[in-house]
Amino acid sequence: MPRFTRWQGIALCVAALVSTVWLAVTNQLILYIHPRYIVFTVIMAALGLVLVVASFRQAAAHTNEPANEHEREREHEHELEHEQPSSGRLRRGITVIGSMLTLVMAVALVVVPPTTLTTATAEQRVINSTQVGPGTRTVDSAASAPAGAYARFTVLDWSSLLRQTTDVGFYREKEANVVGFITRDKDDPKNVFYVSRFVITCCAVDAQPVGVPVYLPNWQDRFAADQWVKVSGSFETNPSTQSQQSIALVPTSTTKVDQPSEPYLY
Amino acid sequence: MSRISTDDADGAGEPAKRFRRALTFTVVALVVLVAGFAGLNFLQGPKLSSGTVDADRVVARAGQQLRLFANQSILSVSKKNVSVSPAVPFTVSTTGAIIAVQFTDRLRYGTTYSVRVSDVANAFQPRVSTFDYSFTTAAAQIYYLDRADPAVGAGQLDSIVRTGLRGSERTIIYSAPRIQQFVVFAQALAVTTLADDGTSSLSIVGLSSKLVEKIQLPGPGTIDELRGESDTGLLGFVFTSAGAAVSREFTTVLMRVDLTGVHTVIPVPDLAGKPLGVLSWGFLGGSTNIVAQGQDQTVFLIDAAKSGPPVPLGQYTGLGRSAPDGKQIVVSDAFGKIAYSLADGTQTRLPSLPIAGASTYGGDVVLLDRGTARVQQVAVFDSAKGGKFQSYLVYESGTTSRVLYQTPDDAGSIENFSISPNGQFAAVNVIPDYANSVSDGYAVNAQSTSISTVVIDIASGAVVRSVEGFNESW
Amino acid sequence: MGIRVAERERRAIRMPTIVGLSVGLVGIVGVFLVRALTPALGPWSLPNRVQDLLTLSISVIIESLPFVVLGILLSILVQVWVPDRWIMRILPRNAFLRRVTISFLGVFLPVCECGNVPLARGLMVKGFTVSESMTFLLAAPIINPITILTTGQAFGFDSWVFAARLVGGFVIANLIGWLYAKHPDQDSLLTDRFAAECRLPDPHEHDQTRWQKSVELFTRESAVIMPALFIGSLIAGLVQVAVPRSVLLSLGSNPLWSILAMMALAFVISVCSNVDSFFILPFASTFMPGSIAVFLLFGPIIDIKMLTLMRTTFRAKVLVQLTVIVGLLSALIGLVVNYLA
Repeated sequence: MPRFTRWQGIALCVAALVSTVWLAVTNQLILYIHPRYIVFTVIMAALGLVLVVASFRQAAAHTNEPANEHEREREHEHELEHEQPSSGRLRRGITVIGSMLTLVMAVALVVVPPTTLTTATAEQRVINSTQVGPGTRTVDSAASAPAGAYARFTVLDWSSLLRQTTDVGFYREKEANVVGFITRDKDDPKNVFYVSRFVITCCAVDAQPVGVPVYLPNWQDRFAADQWVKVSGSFETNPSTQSQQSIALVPTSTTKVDQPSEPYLY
Repeated sequence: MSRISTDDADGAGEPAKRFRRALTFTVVALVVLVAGFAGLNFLQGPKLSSGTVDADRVVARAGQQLRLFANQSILSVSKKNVSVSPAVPFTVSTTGAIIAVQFTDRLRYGTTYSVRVSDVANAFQPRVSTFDYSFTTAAAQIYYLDRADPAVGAGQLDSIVRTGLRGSERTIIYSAPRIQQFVVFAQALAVTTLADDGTSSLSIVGLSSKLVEKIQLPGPGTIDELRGESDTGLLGFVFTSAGAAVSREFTTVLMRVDLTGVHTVIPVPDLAGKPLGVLSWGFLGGSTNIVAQGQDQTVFLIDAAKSGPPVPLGQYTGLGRSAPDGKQIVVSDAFGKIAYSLADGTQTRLPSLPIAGASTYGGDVVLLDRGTARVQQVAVFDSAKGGKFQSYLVYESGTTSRVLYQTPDDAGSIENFSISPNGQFAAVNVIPDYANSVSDGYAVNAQSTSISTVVIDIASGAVVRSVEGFNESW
Repeated sequence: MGIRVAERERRAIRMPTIVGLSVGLVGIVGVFLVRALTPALGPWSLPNRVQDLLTLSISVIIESLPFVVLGILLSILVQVWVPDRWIMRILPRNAFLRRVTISFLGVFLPVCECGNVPLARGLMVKGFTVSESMTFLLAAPIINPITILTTGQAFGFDSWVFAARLVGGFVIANLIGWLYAKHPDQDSLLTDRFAAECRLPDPHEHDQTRWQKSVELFTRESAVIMPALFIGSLIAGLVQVAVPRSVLLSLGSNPLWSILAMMALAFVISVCSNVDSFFILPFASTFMPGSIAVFLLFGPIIDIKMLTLMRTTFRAKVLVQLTVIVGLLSALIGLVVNYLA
């Protein structure tokens, strides 16, 4: 095996495994994966690191001496098989680009501070485009919930309820109190925004944006998109004429808050 | 890649050809099958995968939706393609794969409704299909209070009983000595009982858990006009402290309890922020709003969920009951009953129509959902029977009047009545033989021992059920 | 050769080993320190899209990494620790039955598809034919306890989607296995490098302990798999940031287009088969059941990450054929389900 490839593999392992461990230690793995995989991930990362350390020992022994015959033989064979002059340069080019890309990813993995997904993804993935998953609120369970429970309903709970029923009577006297980041409403960006969260079933890749429409005229005077806010209020027929949402949260108070330590919902 | 072709040329030709043939065959076969099923799918119209409707809410609330889920996104369905039988007013909206049929009014109890949606089309396909869906609404059930006959002996328990309108099955939900009144909530009963000294106590009884929670009252006293609003979990009553009239802390003060929050009894404030003494009061259906008539005859609109002064609606000689949808109330002045629209304040007189030529004197009125159609208790002066007043329960459409109930041989008395939330049934509390009736002698809310409740289908006037007891709760 | 190796061994125990170890440990600690210190330099105001691209790609890596490690570990287990005869002995001789048995091997080796590639490589080194290991590679991600459980939980054990996924996965794996068993030159399906690896006896067969062999194998496998994982996740992230989801969703309602949309989504999203049911469940209302089944069939076998991983082992031409057949077959199953359900 070429030395470069060998070291590249180990280096990438180090980058990925160390990042995983650091994220776990600082409790930031939840920015990327669902909490239920954390234990498994950490165990595997630890095993991986043990193997990496062991392979350092062995790889060092390898590099310290001329590449053994088989490797040379293989590399030779490799070249023989492929090196038709024209495709050779292309192939090498691709290999170089590939190595560059992996390097970029590895550096990003180690250097870039971990963050949540942003409104770019929320808008790109279309808020509330998916239906309720398992464990979300159904109208029946919500209707019988005691009033105190409504205050603890999340953006996900409300958005799944809104998807199930648009009967204003159902929302009457149900005070909402939700935290999320601001994503503008496409139809009426001036007066309506979504207080939104990402819902994760496995990892950030499958994050689904959910949101509750909030009617707050000229909200952009006070807030910017991506800002985390806490909105309290009640659901009423959406006063906005442009927005396609028939019901919106009409806030009694909207305040800026810090991003919660668990930014995603599950 | 070059290598495979080299290998083929090398003499593995026959097997290689076989592999190539198998590969080609597989791909071609798959393409043909995919095309075939794609065609079949293309020719198949949208299908109905499921429908949801809340069988309980649809009879209890107006504006409920039946949601039909198609297996794919469909074009907007026009109202003319939707039929509901038995016919009821409805509106239709389509979003994505969901057709929402919204029923304008409450539906009838225990009735199977069939909904047919024809010409359901997908934007991409030529075929249209018809969706058929039917559902049966929840059967009506009433709760009523069956008091023990004091003649049997002391120590008997009064019972709160649940029964359907069909059959004779009855379930005792809760028994206690000297039950005064009760109201039913989604998961609990609120019950007032009388102690020997005539003071009331208030308990909340879990419907399934049967746990009894005693509510702390603001001192000893009596409770009257106990009412509840199941949707919002609010309970209210009129409270009068025990003792001599001059030294009472509360005299007929309206109190409320939020059963969804902390169960504390809070007086409803008047314009000055003091506890409001009332002559009469009631909830507006499906909301936290209260209408109450103060001691000075002013009628107030009060939102029990918000703190803030009540809104005076004007002075009237009486405050009647509110319509089931909570949009109208009935008040009365010197000239008779008036329907008062809370939306715009318009007032419509509700004249008592004559029955068989005899003039009538209007009593309690309940407005049915829209307009001035109503059920009313009326008294008719009957000169033929020695100049007696006969009481009737009548249905008045606004222009015509129809007797729903009169007591057998006109010997009895209609004490009270109520209308089911969907306006389908009227329940009438009747003392069949008024002359020989015996009171149970309770200090508050005394009732005849022979009281019975008769349930009548308003549309047909037929008696559907009769039970021994009163204080029915739908 | 024996002498040279013995000498190497002797040297390996001395200086280089210690140097290697310390360099390695220093490297790991260094990376850890860099990782721990950079966030303190303040939030990087990267544009939202770039930020999300990185978050998504890193998320794919972090999510797949434990499965890859597990896969490599199982591969090491099969190659180094399980005696040759064990696996071969339990398998029937008849080629067809053998493949059928192999398609259920995933029940004992529950790895999702990313871990399966190293494992399948290990099985080939161990003596599986290429077509047999393909059968394993395609069946194991679907017919394994975790996937069966999660799919059942998400859609119900009596649902069309559940049945279509299990039966479909089995059929696809065996059809592919049957087809490629007909290929006269199995080695020519593999990349030259991997074919060579399989052909040659293990270079350190006689002079390494099992532990050393295991470590050697880990180094070798991670050298092949890790770059593929990194590139695959970067591409998956790129495509997700670039292609608006609304395009896919608008297609969702059509019985034909939704099949293609779901294949595209599965191709792009590259989540593991163990968890993809929960991912796709929210789409169940928008998309037809057949289309969901297609996602669950096509995704575990063919997606961006998987193709990059499989490219380490199979020739591009084979992967194209594989993609076409798996695509057609899963589309067919999806159409049948859509028609019947």
